[in-house]
Amino acid sequence: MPNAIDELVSVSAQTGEVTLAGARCVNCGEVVFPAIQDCPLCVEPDVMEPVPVRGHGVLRDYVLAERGPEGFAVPYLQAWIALDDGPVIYSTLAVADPRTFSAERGSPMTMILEQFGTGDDAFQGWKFAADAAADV
Amino acid sequence: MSEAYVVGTGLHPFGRYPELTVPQLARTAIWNAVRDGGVAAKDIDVAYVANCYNGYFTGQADALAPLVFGRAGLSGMPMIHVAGGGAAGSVAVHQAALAVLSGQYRMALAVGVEKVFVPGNPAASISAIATSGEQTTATQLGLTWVGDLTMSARRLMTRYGWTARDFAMIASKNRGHAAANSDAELQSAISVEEVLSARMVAPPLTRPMCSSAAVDGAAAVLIADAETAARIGSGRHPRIAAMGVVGGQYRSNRLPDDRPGMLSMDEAGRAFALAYERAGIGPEDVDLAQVHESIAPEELLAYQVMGLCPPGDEAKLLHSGATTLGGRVPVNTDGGLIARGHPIAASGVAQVVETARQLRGTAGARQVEYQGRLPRVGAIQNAGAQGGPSGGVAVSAAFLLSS
Repeated sequence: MPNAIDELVSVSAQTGEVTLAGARCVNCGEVVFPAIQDCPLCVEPDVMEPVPVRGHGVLRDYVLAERGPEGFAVPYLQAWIALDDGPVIYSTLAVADPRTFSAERGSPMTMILEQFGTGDDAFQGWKFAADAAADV
Repeated sequence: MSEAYVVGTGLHPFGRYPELTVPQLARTAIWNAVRDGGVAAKDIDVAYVANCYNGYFTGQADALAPLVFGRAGLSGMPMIHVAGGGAAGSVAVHQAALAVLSGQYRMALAVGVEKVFVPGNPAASISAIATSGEQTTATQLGLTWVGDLTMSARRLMTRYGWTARDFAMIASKNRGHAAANSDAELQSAISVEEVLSARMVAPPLTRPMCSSAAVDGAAAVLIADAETAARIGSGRHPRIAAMGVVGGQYRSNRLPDDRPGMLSMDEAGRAFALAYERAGIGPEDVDLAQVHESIAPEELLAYQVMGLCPPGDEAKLLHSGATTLGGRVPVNTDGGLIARGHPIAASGVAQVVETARQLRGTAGARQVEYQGRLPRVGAIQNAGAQGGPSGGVAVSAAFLLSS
């Protein structure tokens, strides 16, 4: 079953890096994700051009969720990531043990793709993992 | 200048009612409001129902208004369904009040009703309320309301020096208030130590510091113009002194965002600035408040954004006892979302029910008095539904009622 998120992510065959389908305003330069046509900052129509947004950023906030929606194994980590290209996005964190995870705000993080859900509802979604250099 | 008055209030008790449907919950609140006001139901000439999840659970996504009002025996007036997550009830009240203020309708009904409890499946309730957030990029990847709000709370603990004990004090206070509310979901008092030692939901928040998603209930208010209100009962009714209603504002992601980041509160300061200006009063005039504490830290932040204290003094205000029943400005006198319960679309209407009853002096065992007199001004803060580029709420509402 197609999922709207399929249109938003692509993976480089060479590097394995994940890129997001963002948009940049030709008037004011604001970059948003997901891509839209109309600028929310200068409030003008048809001014956004497609732009790739890198799947890399820094950790802004995170929390351990001991309860979650249907289909989510608890506990898991919820986080807000400030992408290097501007937009702030939500993600779970890919870590070995959510309970012992600890990181400073501003830690560099990289997007990876993982399967969410099962059966007909399965889709490819994103998670973020701490950069190798920071993961000591 | 036209005026709008709250002339009737009604509830269906909040709790778990798997045997009742959304229309059944709603009819109890509607007729309790009609009886409370002593009005003729045939005089209701516009009706709004706030509901968010009936479609999710039953498939009946539209045509809810004629079902809810029709099955309560009402017909003929325009019947309008509104949504908006935790703000849905405020949206209904706002629209009902605007309808009366427009001069085109004399008496409006606003009911908020929600049925979210699923026996034996708490995750189903979490999944349902997640539909009030953005699906593609957030909720289907696991973002929850409690998780999102707690991330903000953790950051604000550093900024304002809040502690888990402060959150426990909020929970204990509101549970204490609800112990005097027979319509509340949770009517048992709980100590600060018990709150702290309860099971963890999202560190540092424990279960009693969070409202539950798995709650059913309904609330209704009748709003009338001055001429109609004067003919009802004693003729003296709480007035809607002002409404300040705004939505999430997009901010450039190239600039630092200095807003506190807690969804329900990001825009509340703007909403209250509008409401205070329109009412010609200030936060020092507020005698009691109902705020949207779906988790306890939101109530602390509400003290600041409503102007009850300067930034950083939220915990001090709490510790002083000012916001507890008997204090200078009691907050969440009916138990709030944490203890009265948070059946999403019913909450905003229930806040108006409680405020009106307090101003009338009919709040029973939890009646607020200030220096031997009834309260004169009640403030209400509410917000909900989130998504889009701003990442903000659909509606942030500030209502001021006066006696």
